[in-house]
Amino acid sequence: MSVETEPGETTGVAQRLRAVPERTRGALVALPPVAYLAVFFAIPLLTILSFSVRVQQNLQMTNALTLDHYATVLTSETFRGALFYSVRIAVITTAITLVVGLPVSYYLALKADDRFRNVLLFLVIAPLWINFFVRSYAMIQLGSPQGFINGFLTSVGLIGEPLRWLVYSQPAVIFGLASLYLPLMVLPLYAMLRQLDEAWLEAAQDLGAGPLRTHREVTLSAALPGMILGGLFVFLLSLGNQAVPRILGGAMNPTYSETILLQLEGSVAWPTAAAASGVMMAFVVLVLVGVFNVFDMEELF
Amino acid sequence: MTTSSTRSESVTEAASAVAVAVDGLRKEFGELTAVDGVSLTIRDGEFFTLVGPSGCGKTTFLRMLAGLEDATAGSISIDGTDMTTVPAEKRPTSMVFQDLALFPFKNVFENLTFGLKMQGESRDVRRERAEEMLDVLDLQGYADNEIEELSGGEQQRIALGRSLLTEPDLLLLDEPLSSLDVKLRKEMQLELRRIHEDLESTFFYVTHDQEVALTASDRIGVMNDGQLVQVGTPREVYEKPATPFVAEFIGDTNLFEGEIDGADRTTVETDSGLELAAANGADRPDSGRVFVSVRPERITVSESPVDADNSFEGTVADRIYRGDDITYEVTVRDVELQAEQPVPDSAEPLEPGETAYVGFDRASAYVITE
Repeated sequence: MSVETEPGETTGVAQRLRAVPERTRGALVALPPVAYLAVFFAIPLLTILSFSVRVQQNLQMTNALTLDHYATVLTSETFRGALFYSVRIAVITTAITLVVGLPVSYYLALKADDRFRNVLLFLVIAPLWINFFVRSYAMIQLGSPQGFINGFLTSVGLIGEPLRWLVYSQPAVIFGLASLYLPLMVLPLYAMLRQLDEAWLEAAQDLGAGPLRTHREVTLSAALPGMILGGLFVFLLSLGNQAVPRILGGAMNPTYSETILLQLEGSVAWPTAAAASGVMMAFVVLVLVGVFNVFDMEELF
Repeated sequence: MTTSSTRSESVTEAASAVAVAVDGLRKEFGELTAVDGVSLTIRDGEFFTLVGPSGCGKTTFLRMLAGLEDATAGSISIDGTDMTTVPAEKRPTSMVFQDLALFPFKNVFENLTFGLKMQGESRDVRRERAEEMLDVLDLQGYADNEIEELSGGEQQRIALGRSLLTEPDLLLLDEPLSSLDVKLRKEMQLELRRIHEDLESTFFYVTHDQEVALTASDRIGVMNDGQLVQVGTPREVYEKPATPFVAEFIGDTNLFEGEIDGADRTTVETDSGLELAAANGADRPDSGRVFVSVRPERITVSESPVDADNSFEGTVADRIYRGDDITYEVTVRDVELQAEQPVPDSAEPLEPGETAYVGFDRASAYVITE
């Protein structure tokens, strides 16, 4: 196309490029993304990490090095409690999306009518586009003591008192996170299960596996890479999410991310916040190394 | 029964040893009838091949034996036990799938011993049995390989081994050789035959390839349009086809349609105007419409008149050199005859356009009454 518009120049550039050795050409192609990552990812990251090991004096960072900030974070009851709370929420959220996501993606991949498959996939992804705050406030409306759910349960006589834990509670946070991240679990599972050959199910059955055993041996094995990928997505994003707990969690225990934010908003404790971020990063790296050690990614995908 | 080995005969004598008895089996998919009332007995230890064109219902029939498809009507009994409604995992059958259906996320050992694992065998036992089977399959040392690392022929053998390790009373094979190239297919054919003889189990093989059917089987069933048209030894089916369809499907043939002479019951006036001496035939009628099948290899082609019960003069229309023989197409009046001749040692074969004499004995003209 560009050959037609500017023939002379393009050939000129192409010719000059061809004169450049293969290795240099590869490096040239990689330059823009590398530069982008350096400016917007590596430099802020290194800045934060450098804050975490420098002494702060009169709200100014000095060049003196210290590990005190890490000691503060690691010995702090608040940070440890917050980390434990965040991990628990992330684990439960991941488990829920897995339990809900498996049958949904199995249906989408193997049972759904071809004509409706795209529509159904669209519906699965749709929650990602609806503004999250709008959805969260809608959930609060639904779950509030005067809301639809409590109203319905009271009217059919299942409960006498409105259920107060439907909003501003740990279940509310988990439900919010699970519904937010469910698509990230369903899509990788769907991608793996689309490759499942129904003859594998028949072969397993033929070799003596009952229906449950067949699904355990074949469906789960086929879905495993998707489970790991989706699980990592949901776990890591839930762990770092700070908006959902803030909106749906009310005055509950703060999450780890919330605790870090409080350091900045309340006390301008940059080094402590930075060290806390460093601890979180180390934790995430540990999780990833652990998962990649148990499952050989090369073999799975 | 004439060709078939002594083994097949001895099996016949032990009349009680019926492995599979199918009675009036039917399968309908909505409007479509895939299997239309098939009854069949397979003997214990037999290599039985069901052959037919694609879409004739043979795979559906096989899947019903495996329990992967419910029968609309009829019954299946295996080793004297009614299996019609027993689910696949509880049947003493095992199937080798057309596209093999090996588990790609499991290695060779796990694939081979999947059935044993389902039977609750310990890992040690499974390991031992897998090694034995890999010996039989000539794949020693492959236990820890991934499936994708194997060639087509190796995957083939693993799929066979996976089914055999469950020691099925009936092994079902759904065209498992169709994806292999010709040379490998012939090798696997002989291999199958050898394994069958070693294990003395019952093989039920489904294929559209009549060559596999003729070379490997004790008996053949020919299926068309959901119905079993003929059952017999390969030689019976080839030499005494029950219908024009069987004659044309199993091997090549020259098929004539005509009127049989009521007086001597050996002369057939074909619609194309030839008078054929046809002595052979199962139950020749006194009169009426019949078909006559003459195999190309039974027709002699010569440049001089042929001394035979049926002898005609014609013109060579075409000649196909096939290495081991030559196929002539000879036009006799308006009829195209196919004849296979060995390649002559010295003399030049006849050229298209030359006059040719064709001839065959009445014993080679088989009368089929439909």
